[in-house]
Amino acid sequence: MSDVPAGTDRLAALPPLGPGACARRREEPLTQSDLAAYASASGDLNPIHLDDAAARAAGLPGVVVMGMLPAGLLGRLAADWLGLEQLEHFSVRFRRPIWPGEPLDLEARVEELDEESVELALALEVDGEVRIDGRASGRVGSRSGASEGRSL
Amino acid sequence: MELEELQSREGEVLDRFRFEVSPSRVAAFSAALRAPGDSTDVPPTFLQAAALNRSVVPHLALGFDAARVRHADQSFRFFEPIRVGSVLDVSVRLEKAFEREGGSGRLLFAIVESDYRDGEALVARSAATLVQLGGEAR
Repeated sequence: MSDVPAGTDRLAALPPLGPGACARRREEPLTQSDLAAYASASGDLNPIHLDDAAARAAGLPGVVVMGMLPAGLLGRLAADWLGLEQLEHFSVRFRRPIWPGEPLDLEARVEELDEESVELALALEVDGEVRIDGRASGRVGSRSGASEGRSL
Repeated sequence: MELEELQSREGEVLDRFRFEVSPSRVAAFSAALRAPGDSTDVPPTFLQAAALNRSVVPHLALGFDAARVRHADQSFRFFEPIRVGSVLDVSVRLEKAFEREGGSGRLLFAIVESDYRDGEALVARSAATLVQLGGEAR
């Protein structure tokens, strides 16, 4: 396994893209340093995500995760599974706040699949409660890797 | 703020700017999303970094009360893959405004759409639904 580049183990763990197939990924809880890194990379410098005092002043119990950070984790799961080049649409709805320290269970499920396109239902849950849901769709292409093992 | 006032601004361009999909921006964004260190993929949500680096904040430009605004949903449509090194011309506009009654009063919604063009080609379109929760305006 020493010749396998870092990170591909997670790609390899995704199941073939078939009818009803489901891909799951558990992410370690987000830490305040994860939030700081995302703030810097995205430009989302709203202090309710970075400073406990500012969050409390806004009526929150403490810093709240910016929704686009876990949404981005869902986006990566969808892109890893469908293939980034094949991805045509990705959308999320923010249903409940996410707090630092919560374990994140990501799920993508094939809802529709034909010769030309695939549609996924996406969900991000904390202890079984959906905090973000969404959809992703794309072309069913022949790019190597992304659709390998696909069964129709 | 009245709904009619907001609806009269539907179609208004709120911001225009140029955004480089630079290797360093993509690398920082990917790392923040826990992508493998050797990944050169542009994460699907990367275009959000374009919007958030701007001084023009759509919900403020629309007169929303920042303390009561929430991000309800976000979508991205890709007509072409986003390539590292691309320089994109971004145009942000108010697409639609509407209201609904919620449990805590009137909810005011704005759908803000952004177009990303590489030259003449429309490569992506994103949409954010922003909601101002009920309560007295400050």
